[in-house]
Amino acid sequence: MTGTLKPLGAERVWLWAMLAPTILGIIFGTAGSLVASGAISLLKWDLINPASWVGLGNYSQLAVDPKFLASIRVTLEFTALYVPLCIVGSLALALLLNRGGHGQGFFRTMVFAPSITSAVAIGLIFNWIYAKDEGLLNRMIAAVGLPTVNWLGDRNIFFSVTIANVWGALGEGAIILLAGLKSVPATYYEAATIDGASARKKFFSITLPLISPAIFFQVIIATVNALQAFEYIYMLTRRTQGESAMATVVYMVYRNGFRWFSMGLASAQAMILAVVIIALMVVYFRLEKKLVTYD
Amino acid sequence: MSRAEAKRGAAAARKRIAPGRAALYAAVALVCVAIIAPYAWLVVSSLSFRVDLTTVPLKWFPKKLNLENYKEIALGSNGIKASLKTGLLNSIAIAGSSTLFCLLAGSLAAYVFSRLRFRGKGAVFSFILLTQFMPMIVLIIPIYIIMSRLGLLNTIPALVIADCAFILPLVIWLMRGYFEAIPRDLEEMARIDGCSRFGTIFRIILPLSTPGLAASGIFAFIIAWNEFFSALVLSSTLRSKTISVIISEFSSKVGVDYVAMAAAGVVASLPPVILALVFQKYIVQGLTAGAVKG
Repeated sequence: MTGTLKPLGAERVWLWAMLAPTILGIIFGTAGSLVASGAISLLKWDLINPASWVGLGNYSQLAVDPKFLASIRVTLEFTALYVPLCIVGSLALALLLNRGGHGQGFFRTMVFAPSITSAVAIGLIFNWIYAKDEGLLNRMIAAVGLPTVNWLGDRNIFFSVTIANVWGALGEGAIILLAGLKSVPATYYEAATIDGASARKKFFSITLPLISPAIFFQVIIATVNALQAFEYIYMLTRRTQGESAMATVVYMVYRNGFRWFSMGLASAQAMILAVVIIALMVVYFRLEKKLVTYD
Repeated sequence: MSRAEAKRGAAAARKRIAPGRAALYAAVALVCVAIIAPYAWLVVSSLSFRVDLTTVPLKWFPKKLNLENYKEIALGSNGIKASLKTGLLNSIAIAGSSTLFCLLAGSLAAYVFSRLRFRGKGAVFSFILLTQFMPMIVLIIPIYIIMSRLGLLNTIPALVIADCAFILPLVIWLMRGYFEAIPRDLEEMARIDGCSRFGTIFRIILPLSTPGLAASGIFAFIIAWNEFFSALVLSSTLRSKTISVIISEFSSKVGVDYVAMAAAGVVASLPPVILALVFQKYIVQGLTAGAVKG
């Protein structure tokens, strides 16, 4: 190891002084909280009365709770719709951005804007875009004489919320995939052109395999985000009494933990979600070897 | 090939490309409209009178400007609209201190990971990166309980601590990338000339990585500004409610006063957008740093 300075004597102290905030914060914050969540999930605790030990009671209660099972289902359905839409949409946007031309910088900034806007503010806008009588969408539909749609009604809310979520996430994905596109050597395309390859052939045989690591990275990010989606769901589906028309697992944790203060039950739900996330990651990394090309 | 033939060939090629070009421009235009429309609608609504907003057919430009809501937000002294001002100040304090702390602690940690050798370095670094994938929802319950036992609920420090927990790993990761790009010789020369380890960090390494600090700082600020879940859970009084939490209550508190809601939405989304426009270059750099280096 050339050039790496080895800490000596007094510097060792400085070394730990520099790392301390991070180590303390992250190890105790994250790892500690994870262990604590696991421990709390074995309790029945409302923060007012002393906690009582219930062992795996919370888990066995959740295993037969139709509301919780429904929340897992809606979370997975949402993820299954959100991730492909995000990836295909981001890739299409990235290909557009990669064409260059006038106003490219402006276009890139604009595409990125939703990613840096507070999701709550966007949720607020979508609330109104989707509103039944005075909403932007319905008034545009009415203007051309078509029957209006109850976008946030029971039948459509799932898709409406997914679209709003995807809208908010496309820009970030596009910028990351764009970096992947830019790293593909132009000579590959030149060689393919000389060999007479069509644009479609070039896309599937050169672009897609070469940016597959970036796509894989994006799939992971999108999946983790989808399983934890909260802001849009909170803003668009909240009903009276803290109910939601689209209660995902995260929403259930929020409601059980911070509205009803059933800390044990909420922790058990959070732990189950963590297990689902880890399980999906394991599946992804297994698939990675088959689908992702590294040169 | 004669000249005429070449010309014809070129013309044919142009013709062949033309529909593709048109489709490209159409696609770009469509994307622009889809992205700008909600923002435009937000701004237009915030400046309109309710009557103008509910007329059919829909008007994109209000007949009369309505600045009442902005005036109430800026000057009002009570009510939900005035509470936005408190929320703004809280958000600035929380996002600002999270950013400063993360830049300081994050750069020092990144320096350690980039330059020093110690046992278990790789493992600790991977662990720090791994925490980014840790769902907030798993962490929030213990954080809430600890904050409530420490009496920190509804205080600004509680929100700063929660924000730092997930901003710090990102800053360490970004800054380490920038530090790696600085030649080690520079530092060694300074050390030979008698500069202390801390001297080299503050006089050589950090000044050379200003773009990195800028990128990390902007990200940290925007993430902290937009953070909602922990802010919602940890603050139930105006003492620490951020602007996001306050506007999330708008829909229920002002009924269907869309104009007031829109004005609040504009106020809440403005700071990150301004930051991004001003520091556009750094954002793209920072975002792609991770993806390219893998």
